[in-house]
Amino acid sequence: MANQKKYWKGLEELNESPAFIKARDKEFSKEVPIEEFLGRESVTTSNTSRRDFLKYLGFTVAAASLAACEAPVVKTIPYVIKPEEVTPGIDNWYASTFFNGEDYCSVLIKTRDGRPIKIEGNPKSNVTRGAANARVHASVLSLYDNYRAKTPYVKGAESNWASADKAVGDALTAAAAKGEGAKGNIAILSSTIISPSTNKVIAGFIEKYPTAKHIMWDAVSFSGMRKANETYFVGGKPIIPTYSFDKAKVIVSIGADFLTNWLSPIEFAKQYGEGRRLSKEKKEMSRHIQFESIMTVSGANADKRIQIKPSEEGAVALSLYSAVAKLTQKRAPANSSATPYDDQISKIADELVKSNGQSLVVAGSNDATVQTVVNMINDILGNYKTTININRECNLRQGNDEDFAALVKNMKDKKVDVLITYNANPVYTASAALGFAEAYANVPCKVSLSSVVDETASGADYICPDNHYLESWNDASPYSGSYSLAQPAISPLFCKPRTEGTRSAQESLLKWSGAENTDYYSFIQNHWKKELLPEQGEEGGGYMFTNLWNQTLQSGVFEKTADTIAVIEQEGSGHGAISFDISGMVTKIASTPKGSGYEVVLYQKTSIGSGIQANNPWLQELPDPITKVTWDNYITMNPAEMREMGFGMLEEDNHVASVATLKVNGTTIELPVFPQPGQARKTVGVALGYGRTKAGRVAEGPEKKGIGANVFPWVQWTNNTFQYYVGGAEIASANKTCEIGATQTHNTMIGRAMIKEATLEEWKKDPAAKNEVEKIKTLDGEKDFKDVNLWDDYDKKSPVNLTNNAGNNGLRWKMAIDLNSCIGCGSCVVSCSAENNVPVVGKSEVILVREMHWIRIDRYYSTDLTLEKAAKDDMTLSNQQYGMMLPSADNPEVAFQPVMCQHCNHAPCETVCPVIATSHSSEGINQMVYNRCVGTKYCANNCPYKVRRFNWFNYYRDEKFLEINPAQESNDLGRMVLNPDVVVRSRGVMEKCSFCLQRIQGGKLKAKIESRPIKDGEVTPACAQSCPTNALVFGNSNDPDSKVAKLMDDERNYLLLADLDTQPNVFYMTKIRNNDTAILE
Amino acid sequence: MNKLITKLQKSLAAFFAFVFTLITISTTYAQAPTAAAIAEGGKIFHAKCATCHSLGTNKITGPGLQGVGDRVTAPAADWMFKWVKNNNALRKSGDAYANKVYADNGNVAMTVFEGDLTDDQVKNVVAFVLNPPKEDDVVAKGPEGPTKKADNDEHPGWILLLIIAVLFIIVVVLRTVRRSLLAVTNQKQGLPAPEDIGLWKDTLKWIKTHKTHFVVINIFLVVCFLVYGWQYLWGIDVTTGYKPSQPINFRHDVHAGQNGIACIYCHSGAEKGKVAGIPTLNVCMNCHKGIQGSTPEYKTEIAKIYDAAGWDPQNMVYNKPSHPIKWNRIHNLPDFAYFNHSQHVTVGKLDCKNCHGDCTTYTTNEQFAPLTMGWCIDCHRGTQVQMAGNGYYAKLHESLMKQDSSRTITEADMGGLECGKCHY
Repeated sequence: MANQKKYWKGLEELNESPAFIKARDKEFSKEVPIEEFLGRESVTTSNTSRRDFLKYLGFTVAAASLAACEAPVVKTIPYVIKPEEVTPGIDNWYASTFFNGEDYCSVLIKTRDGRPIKIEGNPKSNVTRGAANARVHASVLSLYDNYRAKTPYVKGAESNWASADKAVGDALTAAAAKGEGAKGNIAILSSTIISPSTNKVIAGFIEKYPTAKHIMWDAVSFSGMRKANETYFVGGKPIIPTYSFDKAKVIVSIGADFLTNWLSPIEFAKQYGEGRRLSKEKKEMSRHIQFESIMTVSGANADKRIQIKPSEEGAVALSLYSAVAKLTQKRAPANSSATPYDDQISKIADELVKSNGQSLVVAGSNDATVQTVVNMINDILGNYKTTININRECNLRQGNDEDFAALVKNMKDKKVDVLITYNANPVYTASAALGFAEAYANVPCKVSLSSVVDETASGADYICPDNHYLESWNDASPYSGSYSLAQPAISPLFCKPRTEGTRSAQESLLKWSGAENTDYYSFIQNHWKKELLPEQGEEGGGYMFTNLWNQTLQSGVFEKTADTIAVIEQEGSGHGAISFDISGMVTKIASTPKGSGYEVVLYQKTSIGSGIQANNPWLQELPDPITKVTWDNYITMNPAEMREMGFGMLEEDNHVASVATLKVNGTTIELPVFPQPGQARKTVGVALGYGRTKAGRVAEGPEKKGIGANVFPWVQWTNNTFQYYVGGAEIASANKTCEIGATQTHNTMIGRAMIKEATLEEWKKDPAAKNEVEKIKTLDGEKDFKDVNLWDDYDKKSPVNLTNNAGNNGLRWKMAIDLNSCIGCGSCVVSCSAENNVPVVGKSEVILVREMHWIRIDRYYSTDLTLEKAAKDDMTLSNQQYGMMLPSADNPEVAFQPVMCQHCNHAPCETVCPVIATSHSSEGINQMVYNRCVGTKYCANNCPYKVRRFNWFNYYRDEKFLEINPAQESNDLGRMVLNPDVVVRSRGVMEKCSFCLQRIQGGKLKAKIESRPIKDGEVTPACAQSCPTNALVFGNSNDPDSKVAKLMDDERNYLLLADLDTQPNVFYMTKIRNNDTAILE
Repeated sequence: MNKLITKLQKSLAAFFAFVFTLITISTTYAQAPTAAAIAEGGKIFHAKCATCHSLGTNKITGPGLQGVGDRVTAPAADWMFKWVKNNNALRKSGDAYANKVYADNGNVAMTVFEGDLTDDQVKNVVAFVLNPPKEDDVVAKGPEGPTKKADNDEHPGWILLLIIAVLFIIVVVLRTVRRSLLAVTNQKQGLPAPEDIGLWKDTLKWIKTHKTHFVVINIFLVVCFLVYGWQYLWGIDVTTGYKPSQPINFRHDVHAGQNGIACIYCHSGAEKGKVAGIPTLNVCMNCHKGIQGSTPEYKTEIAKIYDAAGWDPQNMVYNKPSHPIKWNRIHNLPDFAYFNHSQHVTVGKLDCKNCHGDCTTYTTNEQFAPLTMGWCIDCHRGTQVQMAGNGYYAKLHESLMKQDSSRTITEADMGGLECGKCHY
């Protein structure tokens, strides 16, 4: 039976507004805004007649062609002394570590002629296992950020290292002279540090200045979880354990967006992908239930999503605890008040218990009580033996909220003489509840080690800028026993003689500590030699150490099994858990502040996160996986409530949104409102990380006020931890509209069956379930599309095809996209932009539907609910209330579908190009030749997949894009990120996905030089390589052993718009939802 | 034509040099070594001796060898033969001059070549050292000469214009003469003098009376214009023969030609990657630490390397700031065309000459091939793929041979004409 579900990308599509229908039928839906140049006054008042114009034209043409005769003299400048490892034109790869205080990722850095140009995940890491997210991919561009501090600053003025060091040294000595009694008057405030060597540097610093204290605090804190674990387990250490989402059969998440933000999202996305993968051999997948308020990426991937308010997280956890306790009889159920979700929760509990210890319950709350309840649930379920390992300690997110609060209090009381901030921006990220900004002014000597002059640094007395991580040595230990090294892939960009230069923060601290040798590299080596690897180092004579060190440097990671010692005493079957007074927790949770009115969820976007890389145009332009909005911060709200309040629904023009005022605790912000299907009632969501006032021109926006608004001040201070939601908000219309760059219905494929999905049970019965191809209606009745085909078979005469017939020895590239694995995170989009020099166009161009991304991730909402069914179930939503809207817009199912050029063998674009600028290769690739293209745009109009992008401007030269586009000719720094193997396209030509042809050609060449056949997996386009869940598989389908050839035999595979018989070389695998049993109804 | 003359000059010069050497040798040497022996000796010298000895007067590790024949114990050839073969033995035998040389050079012993080189080889080396090439005579003048050749190439256009101008003047003159003559005859016959209507009107009158001629001439002119215009347009940005002056007058003929240095020694990237690469200064200094130039012209150019590398040739140390040399690029493909040297050199096993011409004759490096797409395509159409022996093609090759063993597979057959092979 064919799928009866209705799919839509945005409400305007669901409701089929006339404006939407008009727009979707046109490839270039917006008119060219000729007023922009014709509307100028100078044009209307000009005296230039048509004849004059023709004269000028003729003169210019003649002048231009004369100028063309004289080729410019091009200089070519070799090295003076070529570094041994560099051969111009050949990539060098270095293993390193990305850690920005939040996300950890072991990475490989591609450098070309000494410039880092691309980041990939490191497959040798057993933590991130080759995965990387959009933020990691974009970090290479942050290296070339012109806003970075290029020299030390003393009292706001550019200075030099000598005077900065002297001033800071004097202040430190004076402060330390106050003696032990003044402990804490020197404070180092940092985000989480996972580098053992950096910790040692800081320890040395404290040794030198005994009154110094090191405080770790994270902008988005996990303090509550560490607190809960400290009291919950015997041994009493504030640890975070290791989670294994791949081993869990049932995953329940209460407000934790573990796929893109929570704890270690890169690692978890990889694990989740493993658990969800289906194949002929693996017939089971995990079931995922998500409780949440806003629609997160994790929620969008869940099999069942239940909307709750953020203040209800505790109550839900407690209810789940009681249900599980009742079923297992292991503990006494809690005597808590009922929640509206108890029916569903008891079914979920049943499911959890049935999974027999192979489940995982996580919560996003930073409240220790909620986390304790979750610990108890996991404990009863026996998950500590399977999916959670408390013996392998997670070193991420070590920040302690109470320490931070104490520091702020000390600062207010003027007890802090020197404050050194490292990798932290508290002036921007601290909650208003503590009043950090005022306290900051009280500190007489403020030192910032920030690499950019951010909100905190700009108020500091001394800025001693740190290197970028790609310029630095460092080490990291994300888990106990797991180590990785970071090595510089380029020498510091800002250095003498042009500027005073930057210096690694560790070297600054070593210098101030009076260390003899301030070289951080030798410091790390010594630390490893003496403390991490004593058996190989000092004691072993050092030879083994050098060997091991070089190996680690090469592979990037090092596992030391001896370190995974039991940090927690185990006590029988109770697994070390201390018995808890559940009634106390019930009281605490019952007293969670709720407030009247709306609850505001302060969440992190997949791209911007907590705002560290807000100045990165790649991340700003990455459409949010759920809302598909670029370059903006907004209020997400349930569409039904929006309609009630009379806000614009983005239906008539999907780029015009109503602006609302949101008032919390007396402070008001103004932001556009965005209708978000699936948003819990009486809640709104606002993303953190925006409203940066000092972060660079991209983040600050054209008006220099910052894009969007900063909502960090709204973070609540409750139960000695920060809570990332706030109640009692009032929302009102600001009676105006603003433009918003949402791409959700751009390039829509007109309601055809794009997504094919089945349930797990259906798939088990029939692997080809819900995977029929549409029939073509002809005069002789319905026919298979193959029987009404007008096309010749592809390339009959190609000799390579002949050889194909002679044993499939040629190459035929194909890509498989598993919709079941794609989580929609957008890692591929940024990776593609970096690999293929895709220009950044900015918000105003996105509004004109001119975004240039070669790959887009279509996000479809769907439901099989009908109005009748809704009425029967007594849904609270009625047809009258929401006009045309289906009630299911309230909580739709979500599917993600990456779409890039499908490389059709019967390509409609190829047949319409008047200049043959796009043609087909014998390897199955649809080629686009920029230098041949004359820009008729016929191909884009004829592409059923809408994957072609037109260069409306010289993005690399036009001053309109000066601020945002990295590849500007005038910006020597930004241009360094360009991939020299790919052309920078100029105005007036079409471009599109090339299957990363430069990588294919490179891979073939490598095989030819090494005189061997191409290996499967050796050639991978950027998108497939960067996919954290391996949803994209690329390979030579003529090789029967290749992964992609095997996937072609899978019954789940289907072609997009197969009935058009375009014969794409990209194929999809149906999405399978694990939502069969009744509990999920 | 000019090239021919240059070649002729060169060969004449070489001939005279040869004759001259023959005469000198015959006076000092009983058994005159043949030119072939000297050439053979030169090869061995560059391979074995040049690291320590220059042919000039400067000392590297060992003394410079200019005029060595006059210094050593006569007969020079015999003494040198013994010395080169086994200088240790010669010193031990108590030879005074041998011990003097040893002492003069800081008691550093020279390598013993006995066993390494045959007697004949040693003889050849000695012959070479005693009859060093006189580079000034052998090699034609510097880059000025060939640059003029480029000017000569442009002459046809100018000549055409000149011819047209001359014809025009002749027409004008003839017209005046004709008019004067007409005036005279008219005067004689008593007719009125012809009306002077001016050149322009006269031309128009001629056109009216000679319509067919006019049309034919016009068609001819238009056709000429189109043909030349078409050719001109095709030639835009085609810079075959481009040979800009360079900051250092580097001579491929000396390096690749006379000294027979392999291309890959300096352009080492050609086998490995996209660009062949311009040698960096450390590659130059590998040899030029010792070779400081035998003529004033060479010395000035080589001094430029020392200046860039920060090398002090007197004290043999790097003690000055270095800076890169900014060469003028000759082969400059547009950004939208991807070209990879290793694909052609390593995989396709093409000789550098195919695209770069015979560098061994270049006094100033120049662009040999037009580097147009048509030129690329022509080669891709005709060139057979080097399949045999390459594991990458193994399966394909085998199955093709089974089908038809006589078959040749060109690059075009393999998809070498597809746009995406070079444009992405």
